[in-house]
Parts: sequence; structure tokens; C-alpha cells
Amino acid sequence: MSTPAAAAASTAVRRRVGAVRATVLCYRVLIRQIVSMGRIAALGALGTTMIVVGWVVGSSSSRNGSSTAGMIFDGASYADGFGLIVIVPIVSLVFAAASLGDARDDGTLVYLWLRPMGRAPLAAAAALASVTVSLPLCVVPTVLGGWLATDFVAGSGRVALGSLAAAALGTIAYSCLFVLVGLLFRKAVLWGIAYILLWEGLAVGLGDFAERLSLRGYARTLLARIADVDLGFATYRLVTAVIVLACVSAVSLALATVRLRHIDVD
Amino acid sequence: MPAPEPPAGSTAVGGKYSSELAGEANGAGAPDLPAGMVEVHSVSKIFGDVVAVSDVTFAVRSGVTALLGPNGAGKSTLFRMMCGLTSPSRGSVRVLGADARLDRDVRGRIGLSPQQDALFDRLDALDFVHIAAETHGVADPVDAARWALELVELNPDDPRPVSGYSKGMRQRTKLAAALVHDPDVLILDEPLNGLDPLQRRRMIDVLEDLGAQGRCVLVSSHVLEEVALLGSRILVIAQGRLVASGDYRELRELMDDRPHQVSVEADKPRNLAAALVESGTAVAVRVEGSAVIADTLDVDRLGREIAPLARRLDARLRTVLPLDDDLESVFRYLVERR
Repeated sequence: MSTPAAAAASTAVRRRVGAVRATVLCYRVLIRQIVSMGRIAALGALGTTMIVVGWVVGSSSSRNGSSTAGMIFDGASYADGFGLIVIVPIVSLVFAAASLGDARDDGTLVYLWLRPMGRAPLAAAAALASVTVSLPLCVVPTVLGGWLATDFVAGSGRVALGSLAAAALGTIAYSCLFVLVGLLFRKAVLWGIAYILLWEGLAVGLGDFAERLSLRGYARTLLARIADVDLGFATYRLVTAVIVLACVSAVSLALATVRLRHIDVD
Repeated sequence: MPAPEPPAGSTAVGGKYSSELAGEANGAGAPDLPAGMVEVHSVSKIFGDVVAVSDVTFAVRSGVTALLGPNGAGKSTLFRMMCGLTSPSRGSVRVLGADARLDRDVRGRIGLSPQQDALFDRLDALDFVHIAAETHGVADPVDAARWALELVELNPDDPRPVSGYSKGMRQRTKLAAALVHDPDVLILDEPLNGLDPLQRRRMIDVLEDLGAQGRCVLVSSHVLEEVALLGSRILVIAQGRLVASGDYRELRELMDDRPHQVSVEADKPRNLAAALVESGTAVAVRVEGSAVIADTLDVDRLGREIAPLARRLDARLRTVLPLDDDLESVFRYLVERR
């Protein structure tokens, strides 16, 4: 009987697929699999709606003679209430849960799993593919919508910058989390929506401790701190919010890697 | 099957990359592989209350081996365990001496064509097989992908995404992806499904070539004619258990202790039927037109005695035809015996 070492020896002439190479290869496949005209059109329409409504909000606030501080607050609140609460998690969920979840459900995961590659590159590629597609669909409407809602008053740039940081880091963190969810549950989109509605939407109202366990609070902190607006439930320091979002991303990917090692593949 | 010309520096069909993979030091087309390339030891797999595979033990060497059994017998589960796609509940599965779930080098030496029809539907066939080659670390993935597609008689330049392919073309795309890195162990789950008879014949030739070159080719099927055509060693799986193994002849010998059915066409069929029962050659008979359908426990004896009996009755024998001398009968008997 051969030993693993002997088995490996006879394949030594085959090039080893390194982690970076494996990530790139998996990314190329996954990004083509998750992008569909239907998804882009539906989520693009959602983003367009946010931009149009933001313009309407900004125009009407301006006509009503709102103060500059009020306009800044309205813009930041709008970027938070529509962008960070609706668009960022929903868009991230759709693409991230699909990246490996769909492959698992339809039986194509085997074509990436049964390869002489590590599992971490596959999880990383799924997150990267998801972020690549989600980022413009989340960041553009959140930034533009929030900025338009300020009607470009002085200081509106801070709202745009805060929206940019919050939407970008939020998208990354949610994407990594939902890649994991896609591997943990079949019909992951339903589980993801339940999480967004029940936990991110309702549980954060239960108090400080619950809020600490919600991504929304940390993303909102970025927006509030950078825009210098009090949005409530955004009581962390800027650096804390960044570290927590980065840690959630890293831990989610680590758990996705572990899950891939132990998963039953059809 | 006429294989496409392999690029310079490589060997023939199934071995485009043989010299690279096997290492030229051993001077042979086949790698220095262990005798038991796939070893399944006391393996059981339980899903909830369902025992999919129960205490199965076998070892498979190089060459073509067919895993034969009805749908739901546990063939795909066994294949999944061999590939490391799922772990056994009990026992161990070793491929080339290692657990494919844990050993990435061994995963690189397995080619799997899974049963499910799913492919990356947005890719064309060349992209699909090219990705398989790249993820296996094949040195020249484009050439390898083109070679593999031509081997299964698909056009590498077909721009259509595989979602537009027929079932047979999708099946051949999967096969090309399984073959593209010239694996030492090829695991093909119902690979001939959807192929037309000509493609099926050619694919069987390819598999036989690969087996002859020292690869371990495992093919599952529930279609007995396919297994008979493969002319391979056969493992019969039924209800999660290994019920028989051997080549077709050996399996046939297992049948000696069961009734066989023989159709004898002759003049005076009623007289002949009575004589067969009277002599003890047949345990039961029925007459259908001019044919006597005889059940016998000793088909050789019936073969020896039928002519003297007919001569004695002055009956002219026209045909003596075994009705259950095919793999279907062997299979049905083995499954029902469980």
C-alpha cells in the first residue's frame, strides 16, 4: 500500500496550486456564477430608488428652509436608514450567500472542492467575488443618496465620506458573514433575511448589549463619527467600529474555511 | 476510439501527460502505484435513520472496475466517500494510501465525473475544462483542455455556454474535466448516461485504454449492458452492501445453485416436456406453442441430455436457448437473494 508521501511523490511534477493562484481561479469562476442580469437589475433598481428619493428629500428640505445642521442630520439619517439598514445587508446577502451557497445547492461546489487546493482560498474567493459585485451596488446609492439628501450644504462632504466608509466596510463585513451563512444553511437567503429583519432590525432596539452584537451599529458609528452627527445607537469609537467590522470579516472567513473542511459535498 | 494527437513529449490516449505525471524514471507509461489503489475497509455510511452503505470492504487495483447496482444502492455514496466528499460513519476509505478529504495531493490525482448534471452554466466547455486543468495545476491548461474535449469528441471552439448543451454533451464535458489532468484514479458516476450508442462504445474504449495504462478506473452503472460491454471486474452493490464481486464469468458461476430457465423449441413439445420432468432434468416445465420452457437446477445436464431425449421421442430439436444467461439475470438474482 502506498503512503501519502509516496502518493505525493509521483505527482511532484504537477505544479502546486498556491493560495493566491487558487483564490484567483476560484474568484474567476464564482464571480461569473453570481452575477446575473436579474440580480443586477433588481438591486440596481433598489439603489436607483434610494438616489431618487435622496434627491427628493434634499430638495424638499431645502425648500422648507431647514438649517444646515438639520440638512446634514437628514442626509446622514437617510444614508443610514436606507443605505446601511436596507441596501448594504440585502445586496451583500444576495451575492455572498449565492457565492458558495448556490454552488453547494446545485452541486457545482464539487468542481472547486475536489481540487489540490486549500479551503481558505475558496472562502476568500467567494467573499472577494461577492464584495466586487456588491460594493458598487451598495456604495454608490448610499453615498449619492445621503449626499443628495443634504442638498449639498456645507459639510455635506463629510456625510458622503462617512457614507462611503460605512457602506464599504459594512458591505465587506456582511459579505464575509453571509458567505458563512451560505455554507451553514440551505436556502441561505431566507436565513439571511431573517437575520437582517429580526436581529439587525429589531433586536438592536433591545438595548446596549444586543446592539453590540449587531453589525449595523458599527457601520452606523463610522457614518456618525465621520459626518459628526448623533445618530443614536452609534456610541462606539471610530477605531472600535473599524476593528470590530474587520474582526467579523476575518472570523467569518475563518469559520467558512473550517466549514469547507468539514462540509458534505454533493 | 481515435484519440486526438497528443502534443510532443507526451504519450498516447489517456496519457497526454503520462510522462509528466508518472515520472519518466520508472520507464513505463503507468505510475508506480500501489496494488490496492482504492481500499474500502468495513465502511458504513448512515444518514439519519437511513443506512446508505453497510460494512462494505473491497480493494480496487488498476484497470476498469464497475460498481453495479440499482438506483439508491449506495454506489454514489461510496464514490463520494472515496473522493472525500463525505466521511464514512464507520470504517476507512483510502485512495492511493491516503484520505482524499485530508490529503490535497491525493485529491489532485483523482478525476471525478459526478452523477449530478450541474455544471458552471455560464462557462463554455473550454472554459469549464480549462478551469479544471488550472485548479489541478496542469502545466499547460489550455492545451490540456482542448485535448480532453477532443478526446470526448466535443468542439473546444464551440462558443455556446454549457447551459445550451444537450445531456450527452454535458456528460462529455464532465468527463473531459475529469480526464484533463490525467488522474491516476478516475471515478465516474454513471458516465455513460445520455450518450448515444456510438459515443458510448467510444467512451468505453477510452476507459479501457486508461485502465490498460495502469489507471484505476471506477465506473458506476445501473445499466447492465454497459457493464457487460466494459468487460471489467464487477462489484455488485445492493441495499448498501457488497453482494458479489468478480468478472462476469465469476458472477455467472455464482448462479449454479439457482434454477435456470431454458427454452427448447422442438416438434412434440408436450412429449418432450413430460420426458424432461420424468428424467429429472427439469423441475418445472410449461409449453408455449412449439417451445418448452424448462426450469432446471443443472443447466449442463439439461444440455447433455436434451438431444438423446429428443432422439428417443423422434422429435426434431430446432433451438435450445438459455433465457437467463445475461447479466440482468445475475444481477436480479443477487439482489433478490439479499
